[in-house]
Amino acid sequence: MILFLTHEKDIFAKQCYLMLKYQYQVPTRWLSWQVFKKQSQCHMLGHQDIFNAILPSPQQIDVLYVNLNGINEGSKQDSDMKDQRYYLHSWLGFLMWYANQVKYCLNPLKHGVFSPGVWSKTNIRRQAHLCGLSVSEHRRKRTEVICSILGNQIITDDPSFLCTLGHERIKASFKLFHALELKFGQIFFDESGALCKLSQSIQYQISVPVIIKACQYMLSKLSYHGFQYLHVLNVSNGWTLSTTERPKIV
Amino acid sequence: MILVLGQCSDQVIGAFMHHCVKHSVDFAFVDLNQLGKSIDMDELYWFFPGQSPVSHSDITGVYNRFLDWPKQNKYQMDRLLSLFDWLDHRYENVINRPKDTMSNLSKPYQLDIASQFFSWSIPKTNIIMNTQIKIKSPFICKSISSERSIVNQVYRQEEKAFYEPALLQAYIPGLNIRVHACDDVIVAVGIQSDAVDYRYSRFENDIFMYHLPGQVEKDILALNRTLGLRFSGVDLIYHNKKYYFLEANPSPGYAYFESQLSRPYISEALVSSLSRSIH
Repeated sequence: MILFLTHEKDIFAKQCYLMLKYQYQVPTRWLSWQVFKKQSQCHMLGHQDIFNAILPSPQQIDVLYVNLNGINEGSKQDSDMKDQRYYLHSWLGFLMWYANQVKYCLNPLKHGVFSPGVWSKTNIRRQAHLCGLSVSEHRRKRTEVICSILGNQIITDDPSFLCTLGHERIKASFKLFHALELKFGQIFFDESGALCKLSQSIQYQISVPVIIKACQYMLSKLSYHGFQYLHVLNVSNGWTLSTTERPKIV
Repeated sequence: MILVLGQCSDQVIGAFMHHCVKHSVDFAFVDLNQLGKSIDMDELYWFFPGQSPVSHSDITGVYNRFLDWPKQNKYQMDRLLSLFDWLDHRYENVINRPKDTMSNLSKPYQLDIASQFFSWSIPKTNIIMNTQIKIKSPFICKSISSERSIVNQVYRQEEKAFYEPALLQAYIPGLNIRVHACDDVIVAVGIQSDAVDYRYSRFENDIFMYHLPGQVEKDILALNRTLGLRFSGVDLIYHNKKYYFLEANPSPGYAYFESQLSRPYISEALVSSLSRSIH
């Protein structure tokens, strides 16, 4: 099963969800933060069986897409700061556990990612340098080219820009994502191929190829007892076992 | 020089600095409420009021007790983020780096990691939300995150409503043990208390040096390595000849325990770890 936990306006996730559900016809669920936070849930550590029927246990989820933007949706706005922080931390504490129970999480929620230092501009620039990317020194906004990274694939609206980037910088981009423990996200380059900024979610240029590649990536993580699901067959006029594979009994 | 980061009101910081003064250990204190106001930093130095700048390269270790976000304006926020970057990536010797303290944001996440070690058991633990339950055997209820919660009630037969996620954990009576592990130094104390949560006992707790089995010590050091922690306060309970793991606190309030001991073992271990350069 593929579960999406995100905010209502996550267009990228919504498009992936719909394609997976209606075109690829795989078990898929969408839960906005607001709905998720109202679900009755009981989990027992170290046990797969839970007694709430509404949500699958994390062990039954092959891929969890989680976007923490909007996690405050439906929070108790009337309470004081201390209560709000406790409330937010309770959900983050639960999600951190939940995300690490599922087989595959996009993006992973290991504990280190919660430190503000990891996402500081200084660290991203440093990591980019270490991975072999140059960093744009221009403070003013210039024309930026957005590249979506989806697992092991990089996609942009301007395919000729990938030639500008070249093999080494594409490799460095994947290395940077690996260093930051990201699977999905976007990198903003200037025209020369220097890094301007990085996003942990897919927010811009949500094109059909981006959705298709993202869905294929998620499908590649679906596993049914040793085989991988690809897609539903559109025609039914073939044979699973051909005639030659079914010898006549003489 | 040791750099101490925290807030003036923190008694642990007070105890550590008192130890440093008493033993002539060179240190500088950054009151996080003053960062970006009277205290500032740049790429090369720390600036303290009325003192010569302190070079980052003169700092042998940083004792980080960042517990709470102070009120800040945009500039101060910027300074704090820069400080996080220094702590997570630039200083060589930090106890503890912020990114490594984050495992405590989720107790069940930490319990899952701790369950990989065999010298202790994990109490039966449930995560419950948006559910009304009837409790049938003794349980305690506590916060799922690093937010502190007082655990002084044992639920036995009651009905209880869970709204936000919280932990319902089997109540284990027995001896509380707090183990402070700083690099390879282990200081364990037993806490004999009349309360479920000894931190909130109405009476004085009896605190005594506790001798842990070697394998438990080894597992605590290995757990610290797994979590990335160089200093932690691990809470255990000893019951029916078995150890139970409760949690590993990455910013332990060790001063309370140390004040009951014959020597400042933990402060000494911290000073020793923070005074040596790591390369």
